[in-house]
Amino acid sequence: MANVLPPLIAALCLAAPAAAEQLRWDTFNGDLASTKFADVDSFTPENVTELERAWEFHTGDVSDGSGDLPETVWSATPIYANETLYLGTPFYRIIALDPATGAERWSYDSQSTLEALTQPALKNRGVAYWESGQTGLCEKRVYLGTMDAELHAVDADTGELCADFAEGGVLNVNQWNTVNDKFPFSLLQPPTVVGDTLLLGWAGKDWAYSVAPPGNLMAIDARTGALKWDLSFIPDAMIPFTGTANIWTSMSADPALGLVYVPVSSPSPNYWGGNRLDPIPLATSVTAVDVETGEVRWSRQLVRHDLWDYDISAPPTLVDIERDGQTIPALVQTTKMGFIFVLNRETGEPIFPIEDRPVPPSDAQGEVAAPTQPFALTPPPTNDPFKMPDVWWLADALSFGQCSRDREQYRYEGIYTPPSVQGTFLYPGTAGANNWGGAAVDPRTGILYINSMHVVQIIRLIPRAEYDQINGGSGNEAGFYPQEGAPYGIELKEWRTNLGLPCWAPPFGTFSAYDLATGERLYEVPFGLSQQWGFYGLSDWGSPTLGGPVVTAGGVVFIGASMDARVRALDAATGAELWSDLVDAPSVAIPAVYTHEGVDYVVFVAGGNSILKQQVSDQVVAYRLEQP
Amino acid sequence: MLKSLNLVIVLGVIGSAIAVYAYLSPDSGVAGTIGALLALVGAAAVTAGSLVAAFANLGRGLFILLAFLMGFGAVLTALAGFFLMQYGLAIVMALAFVSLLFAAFRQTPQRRPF
Repeated sequence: MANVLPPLIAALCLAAPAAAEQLRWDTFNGDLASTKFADVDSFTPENVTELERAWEFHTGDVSDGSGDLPETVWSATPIYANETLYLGTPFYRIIALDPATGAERWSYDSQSTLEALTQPALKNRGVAYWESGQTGLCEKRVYLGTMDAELHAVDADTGELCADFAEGGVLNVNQWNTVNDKFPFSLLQPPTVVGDTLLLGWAGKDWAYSVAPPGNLMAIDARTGALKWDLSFIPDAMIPFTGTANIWTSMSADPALGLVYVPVSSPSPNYWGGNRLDPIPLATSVTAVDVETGEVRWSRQLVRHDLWDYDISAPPTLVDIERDGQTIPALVQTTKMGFIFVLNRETGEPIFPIEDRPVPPSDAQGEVAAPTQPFALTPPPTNDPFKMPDVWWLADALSFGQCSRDREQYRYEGIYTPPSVQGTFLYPGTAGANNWGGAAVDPRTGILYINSMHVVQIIRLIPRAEYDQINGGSGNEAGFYPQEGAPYGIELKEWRTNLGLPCWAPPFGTFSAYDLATGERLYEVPFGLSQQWGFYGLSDWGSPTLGGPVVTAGGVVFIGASMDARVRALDAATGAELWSDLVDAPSVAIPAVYTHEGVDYVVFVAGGNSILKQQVSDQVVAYRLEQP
Repeated sequence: MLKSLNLVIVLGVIGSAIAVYAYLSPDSGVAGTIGALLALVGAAAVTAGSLVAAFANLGRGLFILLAFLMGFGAVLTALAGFFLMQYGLAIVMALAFVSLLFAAFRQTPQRRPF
C-alpha cells in the first residue's frame, strides 16, 4: 500500500483541475484553470453583511493625467503567496504587503519609463509568482513587466533582483521585437507561470497601423530568462501586410495535459482587413499550445477575418462538466461578442453546437468580409447577437429625437455588420460584452458566473484623404484613429446624445449564471449602478463593467467592475446584491480571496479605468468578517 | 420677518451643509462632480431665497415669484440629492418644499413694523 499511495496521490494532483488548492491566490485568476473559485466557506449569504475593512493601503502610484504623467489604469489582481500579498503598480513597482495588516514589507522600483509608449495610459495588471521548491535566495520569485517591455525578477522575500535571471535580473523582451517594429512591446499583463516556464505575450498600440509586430507567445525559463520557444500567430506570408494577433491578456493552463490555452487577439488593422484577405487561422482564436514544445495542439477561430476588434480577451475557464454520466474536460471561452464557447479542452471540439451563420457583406473599398461566422447559441449569449438594444425613450425625448434619427442613419444587420463609411453600430462595443475579467466557475456545481457590458458604439470608416483633413495627418485625437497603411482611418464613439446620455435602452450591464451541464441560463440581473456627472442611474439600469467576479464555496460572489466605484458581494444563487462598499475608484481588477493565519480575506484593488469613467486611485482594501 | 419661513431657512442651511460635504468629501462617492456642484448651488439658492423672503420687504407679487422659484429649486435639488445617493439632502429639500408650501398658503407677506 505504501508503494501505491505516492503515485496515486501524484496522479490525483495531476488530474485535478488547478482549482484544487485554494488557500493561496498565486496567479492572476486564482488558479491556472482560471476558475476564480475560492474554496473558502466562511463567507455566506447570511453573514457577508458583516464584512468589515481589515486594512487599506495606498501605493502612491496614481495619476489622473492632468500633470506630466499619463493617467493610470490599474487592474492588478493581488497575488497571495509565500505568506505575503504582492502588488504590481502602474508606475511599475512591486509592493509586498503583510496580508493581515496591509503593512508594507518591501518595494521594488523597476525604473521603467512612465510614458504611454503603446497603450494610452500607464497600465498594470499585477505580478506573477514562481517558486522552485528549494530554499535560498531567489528560489521564490516575483515577476513584473513594464511599459518598455522589461521583465524583472526579484526575490520574493527581499525584493532584490535575481542575478541569475537574464541580465542581472532584468530581461529585455523588446530584443525579440524585430519584425514590423512600429512600436515597442509593453508587458502590462504578468506572465502565466506553468511549472518552470513563464508564458508571455505583449500589448501594443491599437488602431494605429496596418503593418505591426506579429503576435507571438514566448516561453521563458523562469530561472534563467532564456527563451525556450516562440510561437507566431501570423503565417509568414502574411507578416509583410499585417500584424498583432497577439496575446495581451492572461492565459489558462492544464498542467496534467501539458497545455496552455491562449486567447489570441485580432490582426491589424482592426477595422478594415483588405490587406489580410488570406486566412490567418490563429487570429481571434482560442489555441491550445504544448507547454514544453510550443506546438499548437488545436485551435479554434472564433471570429473569421475579424473586422470588429473582437479580440479573444479573457483566459478560458477550465472545468470538468458532468453530462449524461460522463465527465468532460471542458474549456469555457467568454468573448467580447457575448458568445460563450464551451469546448472539449483536450480536442477543441464543441460540447454545445456552434452554428455557421451567414453574416452581412462589407461595402468598404478592398474589403471582403467573411460570408459566415460561428455562433454559439447554447449557452445563450450574454448579449443578443441578432438585435441591438432599442432606442431609449428618455434619451430620445431629451435629445428631441436625435437617437431615433441616428438609428435610421447608421447601419446595423446583427453583430457582424461590417464597419462602413456610412457608419455602423458596433454592439457589443469594442470593449466587449465580456473582457479580460472573464468568468468564474464553481467546479463543484459547474455553474458559471459572468458580468457583461451592454454598450453600443458607432464605428465609421473615414477615407484617407478626408481623415487627413480632419486629423491633420497625425496622431490620435479623441475618437479618431489613423489605421496608417489602410485606405481608411476610423472614428469610434459611444452612441450618445449631445448631452452625453446613452441612446440605447438599459440595462447597461448585467450579471448572469449558467448551468454548464445543460447550457441553461439560470438568471440574468442588472448589475451595478451607472453614473454620469455624479448622478447614479436606477438599479434596473445596471452599469457597464470591466473586471471579473470571484465565487466562493460559501455561495457568495465578490465583484467590483462597475462604474459606481463600489465593491459588492452577491448571492451566487440569485445574483441579488447582499453587501457593498464605496471605494475610491471603480475596482476594475479581479478581487483575490485568501486565507492567512486562519482568517479569510477578500481584497480589492480600486484603480479605475477611463473606459468606465475618469476616476483613478491607488487604493487597496482588504475585508474580513467581523472578528469576535 | 416671516416666521413661517424659519423652518425653510433651517432646512436650507442643513441641505447646504450636506451638499458641501457631498461635493468635497471623497467618501460621498460624488465628490467634485458637476451633479454635486449643482446640488450645492440648488441648496444654497433655496437658503438664500428663503432668507430674502423672510427678511426683505417684498411685495405680494415678488413674494409669490420667489416662493415659486424656491419651490422649484427645492424639488430639483431633492431630485438631484436622490440621484446622487445623498438621501439626507433629498429628504431635507423635500421637507423644505413642503414647508415652503405651508408657509406660502398660511402666510401673507407682512410689512415689517416701523
